[in-house]
Amino acid sequence: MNKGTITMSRQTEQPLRATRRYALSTSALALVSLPLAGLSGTAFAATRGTKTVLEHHLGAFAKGLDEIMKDYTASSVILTHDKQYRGVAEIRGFFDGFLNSVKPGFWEAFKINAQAVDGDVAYLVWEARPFVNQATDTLVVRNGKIAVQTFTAG
Amino acid sequence: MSDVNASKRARSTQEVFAHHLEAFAQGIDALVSDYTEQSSLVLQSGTLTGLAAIRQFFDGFLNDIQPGFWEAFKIQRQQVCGDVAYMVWEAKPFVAMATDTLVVRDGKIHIQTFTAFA
Repeated sequence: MNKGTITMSRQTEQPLRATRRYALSTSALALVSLPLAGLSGTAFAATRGTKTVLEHHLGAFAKGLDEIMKDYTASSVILTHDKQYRGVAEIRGFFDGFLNSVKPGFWEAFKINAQAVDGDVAYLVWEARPFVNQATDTLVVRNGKIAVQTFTAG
Repeated sequence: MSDVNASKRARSTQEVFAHHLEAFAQGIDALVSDYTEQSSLVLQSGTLTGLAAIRQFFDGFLNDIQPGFWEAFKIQRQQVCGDVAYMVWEAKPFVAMATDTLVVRDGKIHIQTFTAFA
């Protein structure tokens, strides 16, 4: 694990708004991309769709609710420690609540502690202290969208 | 739940999930039987792929268990959604909170993510 180097080679097909929070999340992505290095070329190609969706998901928070929702479909589900959100309306409500609850300083404190992509699964461990001590997301990606996402904050 | 490894149909997500939980009481062979050579265990510390690496991980886990762990083990939440099983659990004071997400394919755990909270 972690042998060799691999760069994220972020495609610039989206005009990146150089917001601070976006810069934060992408630099964190670059730092934690090392677990991908063990993958062969074939496996890497197979996981690109998942990685692209994860990157879009992370970048979308700076752009707002509509951008976040582009990764979900009517059959998407988010499972959390105490609830489940099914379909566009419920998922939109979940992220609307999240964005509205974000306190000043949250994005500056946001830090990705672990990240991995394996096949159709993306995994993330992050924190935003003191607001969120530790949290983890697992995204199951199908057809370029998030089919199921589990989210746990501790 | 009975062991349906021998049956012709692939086990459901719920069956695999239930077996995974029961297997801890049965030992390392039962645990590893839910995985294949293509399975991955995605952890904060990195990704383990294949039976040898997964066996070693659970071997270490079972060896590290302190007396009282299973008495303290409590599932806070579990839910199955299609081929995904989600669980939040604790075993205080050993593990304050932990979460597993299992992606099941062909009756085996294809990918599992696991995070323990400090």
